[in-house]
Amino acid sequence: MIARTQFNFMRQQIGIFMLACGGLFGASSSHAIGTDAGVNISNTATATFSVNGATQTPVNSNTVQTIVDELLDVVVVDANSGPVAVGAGATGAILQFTVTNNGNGNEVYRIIAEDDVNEGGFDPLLNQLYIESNGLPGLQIGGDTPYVPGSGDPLLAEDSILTVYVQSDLPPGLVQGDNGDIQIRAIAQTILDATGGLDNPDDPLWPVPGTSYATLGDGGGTAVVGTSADINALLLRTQGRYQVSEAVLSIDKTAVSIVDPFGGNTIVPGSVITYELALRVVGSGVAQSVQVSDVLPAELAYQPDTLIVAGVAEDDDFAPAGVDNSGFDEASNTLLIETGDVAGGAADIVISFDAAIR
Amino acid sequence: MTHLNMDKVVRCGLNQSRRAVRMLTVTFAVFLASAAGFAHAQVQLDNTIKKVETFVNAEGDVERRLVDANSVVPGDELQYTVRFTNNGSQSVDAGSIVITDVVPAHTEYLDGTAFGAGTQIWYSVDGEMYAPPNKLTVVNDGVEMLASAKDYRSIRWTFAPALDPGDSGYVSFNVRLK
Repeated sequence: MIARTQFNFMRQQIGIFMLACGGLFGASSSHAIGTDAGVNISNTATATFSVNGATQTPVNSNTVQTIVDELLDVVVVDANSGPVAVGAGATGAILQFTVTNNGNGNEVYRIIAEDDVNEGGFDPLLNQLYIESNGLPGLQIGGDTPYVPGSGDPLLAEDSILTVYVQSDLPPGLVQGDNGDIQIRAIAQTILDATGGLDNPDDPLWPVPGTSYATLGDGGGTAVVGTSADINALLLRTQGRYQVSEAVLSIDKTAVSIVDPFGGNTIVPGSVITYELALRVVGSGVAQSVQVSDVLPAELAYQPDTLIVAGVAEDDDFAPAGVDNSGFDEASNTLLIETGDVAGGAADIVISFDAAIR
Repeated sequence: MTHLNMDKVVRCGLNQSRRAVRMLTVTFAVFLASAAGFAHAQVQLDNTIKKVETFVNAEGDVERRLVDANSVVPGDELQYTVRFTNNGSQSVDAGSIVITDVVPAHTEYLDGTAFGAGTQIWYSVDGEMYAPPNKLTVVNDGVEMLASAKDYRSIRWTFAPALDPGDSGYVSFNVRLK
């Protein structure tokens, strides 16, 4: 059971990487969802008619115009695909969230984290928030930007998505299965300005959807509070969870080298990328029957006979069946590697392979 | 030309005798009559916009009402109403009043909302060819299929009866702001 949980966790990590990898290959991360604030919606009707059989000059109606207001709508999502397994006594444990400006104007959002919201669980010790800024998947301390709410609050263009990382330590005395939650909420600067700094939807004065603020919208028009602020289905707030596990698997995937067809290191069709997966188990227990699967995106072609597991070359086939469970499954463009039981604290198991960009 | 004539007569009326003033009155009345007869805008169109708002009434039921469209945001439903009035002195021919309105940019027409008592309502997906919904097609990926309300770019109402002087009617349609 433990092994299964950790296996799932491992798959999630790979999944997160693949999402970022998709971005590399041009997948769009956002799309326009609403008419921009400030756009003029204009309408004029025309009529033709005749009198005594004689066609008259066509007539126009007056033109009615209405200016689109700024809709304040933001959605915060727990991007961890479930509880994040951490070892008891872990430090610097990361949770990941996305903040999406679903409104139709540019808006500054204050992103606030709470570490004391878990009923019946433990309170993580919040260290630091970071905003994804270097374009690499996952938190890179020194690469991504430390963030303190109220200072350098990010401006989100409409439809844009921001990734926020929460780094916490775990308090002492935890055991297997303990849960600790972090709550994240994003508050529009317009609401802060209009309410004198109200930043908690639990406040009785929190504005209901439809509340409008003249002149405070993007471009100087009216701003209207959207449905994401509805306290009954609060989309601007969510929680992520740390879950204590005796043995915690993690995988870091990195592209360690790129060789293009011209001897350089650009990413073009024909470039060969060497990937390294570092499999690590922390904690006092043993992760049992560990299997790693890495689904390559369609844009990548695995290079035969390049799979190396812990320094030993591994063939690509699965023969003899039931004994050799590592190799490359062409049908699903997936690498499968079986490492068996891995004890917490053991040296990283490094898996490497080459893939070419189609 | 008419205006220049009147101007001349007014100056004349100011400076001349009572007879001349009577002349002015007569001339002015003739001017008014000719202006009305000459008018292009025998049919006048008045366009208004409202926002369709849903609310929960005292019984707890969801109801719809029209409010001023002072504040609109994506997702809002808007209703355009065009009132047509015969401001002239002659009857407008039966079947001759054709009102055309374009579904505004950034909005999509809401199926079944076009209204007009005594009118035949046709739609267009290109602003040129008009047809009833069951005969209006679009081509998607090389396949011709029946157009849906979201494809409609303009609406045309043909008013069947004659419209006598002083009479009026209205047509309306709803859109959603994208």
